[in-house]
Amino acid sequence: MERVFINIDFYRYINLRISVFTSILFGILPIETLAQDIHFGWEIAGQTQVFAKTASYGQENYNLSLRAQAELYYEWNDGMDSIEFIPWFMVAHKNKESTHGDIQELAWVHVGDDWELRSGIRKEFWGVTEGVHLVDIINQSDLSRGLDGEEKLGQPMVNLSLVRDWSIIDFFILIGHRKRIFPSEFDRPRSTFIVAGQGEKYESSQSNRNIDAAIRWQVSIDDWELALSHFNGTSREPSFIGLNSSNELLTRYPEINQTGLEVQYIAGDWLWKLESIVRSGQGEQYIAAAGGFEYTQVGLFDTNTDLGWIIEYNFDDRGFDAPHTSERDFIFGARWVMNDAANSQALLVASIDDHTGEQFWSLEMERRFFDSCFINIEMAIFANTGAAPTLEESYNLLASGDGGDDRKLSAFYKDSYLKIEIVRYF
Amino acid sequence: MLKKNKLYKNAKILVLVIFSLIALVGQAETLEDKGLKIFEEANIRDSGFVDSKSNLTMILIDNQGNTSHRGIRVKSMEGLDGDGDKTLMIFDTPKDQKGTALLTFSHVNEDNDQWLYLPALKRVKKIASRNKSGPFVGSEFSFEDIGGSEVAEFEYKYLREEMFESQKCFVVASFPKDKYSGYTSKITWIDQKHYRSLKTEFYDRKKSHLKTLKARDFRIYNNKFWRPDVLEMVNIQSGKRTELRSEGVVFSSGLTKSAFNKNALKRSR
Repeated sequence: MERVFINIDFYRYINLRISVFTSILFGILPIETLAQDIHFGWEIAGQTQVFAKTASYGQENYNLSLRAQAELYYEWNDGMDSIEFIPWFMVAHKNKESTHGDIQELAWVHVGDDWELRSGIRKEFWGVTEGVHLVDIINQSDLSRGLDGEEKLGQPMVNLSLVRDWSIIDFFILIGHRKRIFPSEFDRPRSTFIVAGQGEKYESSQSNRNIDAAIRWQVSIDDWELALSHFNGTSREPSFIGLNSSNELLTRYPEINQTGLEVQYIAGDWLWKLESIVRSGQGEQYIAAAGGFEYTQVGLFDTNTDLGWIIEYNFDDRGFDAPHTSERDFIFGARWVMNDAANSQALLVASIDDHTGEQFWSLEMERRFFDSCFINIEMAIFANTGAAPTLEESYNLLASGDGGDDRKLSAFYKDSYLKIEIVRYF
Repeated sequence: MLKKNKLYKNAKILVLVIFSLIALVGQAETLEDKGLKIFEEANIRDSGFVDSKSNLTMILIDNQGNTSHRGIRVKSMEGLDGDGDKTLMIFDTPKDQKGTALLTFSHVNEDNDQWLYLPALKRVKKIASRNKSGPFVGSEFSFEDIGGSEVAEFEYKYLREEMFESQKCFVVASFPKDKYSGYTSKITWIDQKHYRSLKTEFYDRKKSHLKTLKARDFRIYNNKFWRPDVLEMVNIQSGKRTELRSEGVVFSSGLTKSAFNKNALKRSR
């Protein structure tokens, strides 16, 4: 009798194990309802870029590229669990190096009462200002798709988000580091030197397998939106440590600590914005800040059009030594929103270095057509940059150890362009 | 006999006095009070919905009859302790806007809080909610038409009684207290049986007739809440119109606070 009982118990145990296993499996993926809860969409985009002048570094006078992106979304458990998958791939005309793709999103999100756990490859944006995104640090930039750095690569992570009445606290474990993608030899605009695609160095002994951490605390009180963040890990921005044998810049990713502050205050039609960071571990400790306002004239001349005026100032206490172009710059902008059925908008931005007088102007216009197509036209002008240095001039400058003059846009001297992108959504 | 007669006479006088008092009190109710009471009653009949979910299709129709569609899912939660409602709107179409979401915390006599989520940039933007008079996604509905309103945000005046589509209606004018409103007044036809707004005329800042909203195909939910299947807004001045069709309306489905925060905004699909 005893044996039988034991056997029964054993059986039960096995059954329990099986049922626990199957309920976990089916709890995660209730296959019977799979089809109806899957959402699938995709888009295809054609882009052409034309340049008015012959290139300084032998690139073509036009670029053509084609990009396809898919989005697969599946939710279950009443939407408390979901998986999102967004891969994309782009093919660049006559330019194998810029033909590439990425997984922007492949993550499982679980929602609890006052918390969320997001695991997988994701994109996370931090920041408030229009001109530069100083605080934003979770994802790596893909500069081959745009020098503004707004195109990002997916980052593997585990992110726990705790929701309180007035605030949200996010904890991030960032698994592995992705190196920055720079414009290739054939891309335009690009710097005088090409950045080496291989041979990057890491300060961390784990190299690109390092695990980084970040925390962000955001608060909404009345008309204020505040966020305080800290990042500890491998910098997304590399330092340049010299040239390799084919005269390409070598990169090194140091370990950094970066504390960031974001402030936004709404006062009627005025939006005041401030972003600031303190970074240590990459050269000497430095502070950078960007701030300003956007003032919106609602219903201009009794029409439905809104006109927004943007003024921001960018500051980096490293001055000219800052490895980017917005170390002491004014940003002037005008945003034109028609509020029509086609969602027509335009944004004019002028970025002016208050020291050298270098200017970057951009005019972006976009609208929808045929319900599922979207057109985006961008005109970019580099002005007052000074002539582009030749490779030899840049090489001599680098060899002399002097940073050279303060003109950071000069490599783009002949690269003013017109870019047209048409996206079809399916 | 005499005594009894006197008593009867006195009683008659008393009744007369009471009736004339009632009449006096009745007259003391101003047209403003009457208008306010009608809207308060409509509000009471509509309160206690706790939360609601629905799928909206917005059809924009221009002068030439060209149409453009928007699919929007809406979740809302009734405000507690004198605060306004919380609403989350998620766009499914047009496809370039898919996943765009708008979270609104409405407040009584105070600017609403609004956050907009842009999925391509993964960016949550706090937006100035003073832009009430602007069109909502290019439609003939403005943000203030869509966002709903609290009784205390208007002053009222009862105008008259009138039949509208064979229903006996109160006709009440309401005047927004908020100087950023796009309207100087609204005139609303409210049916006397169920206190539903059947028709509203909107008068712009120049006091000219701008738009007319008509509600039709009413349904009752949870034995209490009347909702129209179709709202049609016609712009009298431009000739454009917008139809708003509701489907799958569910009340008191047990939505929690966690469906209305910035995290919820970011995960809306």
